[in-house]
Amino acid sequence: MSDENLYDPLKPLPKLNLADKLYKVNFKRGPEAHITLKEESVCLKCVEKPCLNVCPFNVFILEEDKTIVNWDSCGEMGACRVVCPYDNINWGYPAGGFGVSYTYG
Amino acid sequence: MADKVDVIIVGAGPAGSAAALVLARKGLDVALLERGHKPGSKNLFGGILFTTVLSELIPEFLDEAPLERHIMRRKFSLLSKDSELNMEFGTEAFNTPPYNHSFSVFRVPFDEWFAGKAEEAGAMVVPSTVAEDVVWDGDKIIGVKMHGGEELHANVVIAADGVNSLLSEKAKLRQPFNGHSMIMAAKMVIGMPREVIESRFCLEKDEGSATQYFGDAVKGLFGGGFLYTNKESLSIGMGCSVHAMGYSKNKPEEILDHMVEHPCIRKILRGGEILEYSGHMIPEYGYDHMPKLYGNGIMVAGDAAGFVDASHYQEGTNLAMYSGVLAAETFLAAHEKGDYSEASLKQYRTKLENSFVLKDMKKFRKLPEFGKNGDRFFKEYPELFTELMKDYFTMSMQSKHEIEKGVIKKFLKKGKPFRFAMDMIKMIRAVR
Repeated sequence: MSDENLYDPLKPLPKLNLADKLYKVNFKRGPEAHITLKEESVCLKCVEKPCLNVCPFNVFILEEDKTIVNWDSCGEMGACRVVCPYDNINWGYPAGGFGVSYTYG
Repeated sequence: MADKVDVIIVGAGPAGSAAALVLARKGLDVALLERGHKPGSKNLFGGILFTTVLSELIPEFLDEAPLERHIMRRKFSLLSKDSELNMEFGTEAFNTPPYNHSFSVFRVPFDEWFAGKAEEAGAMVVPSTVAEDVVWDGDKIIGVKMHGGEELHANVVIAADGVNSLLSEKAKLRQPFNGHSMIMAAKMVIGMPREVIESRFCLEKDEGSATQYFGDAVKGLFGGGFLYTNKESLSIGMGCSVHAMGYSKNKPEEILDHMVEHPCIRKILRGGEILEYSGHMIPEYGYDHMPKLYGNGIMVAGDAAGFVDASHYQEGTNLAMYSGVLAAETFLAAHEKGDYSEASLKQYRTKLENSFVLKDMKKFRKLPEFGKNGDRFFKEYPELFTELMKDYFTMSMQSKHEIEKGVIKKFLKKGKPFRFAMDMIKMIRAVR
């Protein structure tokens, strides 16, 4: 009991992996994907794939060789569209009221 | 037939709500469209809310606005792997109203409150509404088209739709973004009891501090970190150029983890609890790469126009608010003449040029180029100078004279004084 529940101002900040961090954010899944790839084949020939690296929400992941878009946990920041060397991302906003919503911001 | 209002403002952030407030007070028919389920819900920043403009719009803001702490201390910190070299300024002079017009805030409650003031004044706030395109009549913009095809018409559209501003793109006012001058930022809000924050940062009551980090905070990438105190939490985050991030070996959340685990930062965060994780993009392309700010029936304000002072002041929301005010004033003059053409709305640019908005943007116009070529400032120099300090203060049987000589010798060898001097001149030119 007790001791564990006492607040300790010197306790290290707990480490959270990305999934745990994303769990702290509200995502209301929209009726349709607001981010899609224009041509999947274009991603196959892309060597650097900067979209995989740039997104703090890890929306772009690689499954085998294929680039997958996890748009339902997208933070709507737009860096993927800016960084894509082939301009291969159809980028838009989720429908009104859907998508990410913060508590603090 | 689509409904028609006097002005459509897209985006209920600082720019849009400021414009809506001014226009609604003049009795105009204003629609303020917001794509979030309520104003503020999509918004965040890693900054200080400067309130010089807000205090003119809403003089009672000190009592009403959901402010966190007033910033009376600013710190700049160069980090290497195991060292820090800091410069800090604080003054009691900022502890009395109006508190140097500098506050930490949470954007979700603040933006909601601010949009609420526009609504009280008579603006029609329409949440959960995405304006996806502009509506043309010949070469004139006469309204916006929503997700789903419905149209709303107006004499003028004010695009305050944020950093990605799809509307200014559809209105053919902007070029594609450049990844070097767009900053991607990741942030966490860390809950912490008030008394821990106040004792750890040497603060009393609602005093607050702001820190900017350089160097190893972001593994020497083109960018930096920030730390702000709120009432019962800290806002901590990192920002890097989208290009640098995309082509680095690290992911943003890894850089953020690296930052919060840095020995000089982790000690500050002890006893904290992660409350929120968030990300946003910041337009830092500067004065020379802004979109065209007006067209037939349209003006662009706030982040949508790239109004961000990326210098050590780190000012964005204040520029946004004033651009909203000036867009509103431009509309009022145009409305009187009944002329909403590009030629009439050109006044917007003139007003901006005569105000601190574009004067400051102009002053810091060389920053984006400097940053792009400033690798040494983000990596080499923080490492070198913390190392020189470490050498200087390392005790040994060497005489102090020898230690000093050693430090100078290392600076001459590693610092390459001529190149360093040139770099310093470039930096000074970029901020002068």
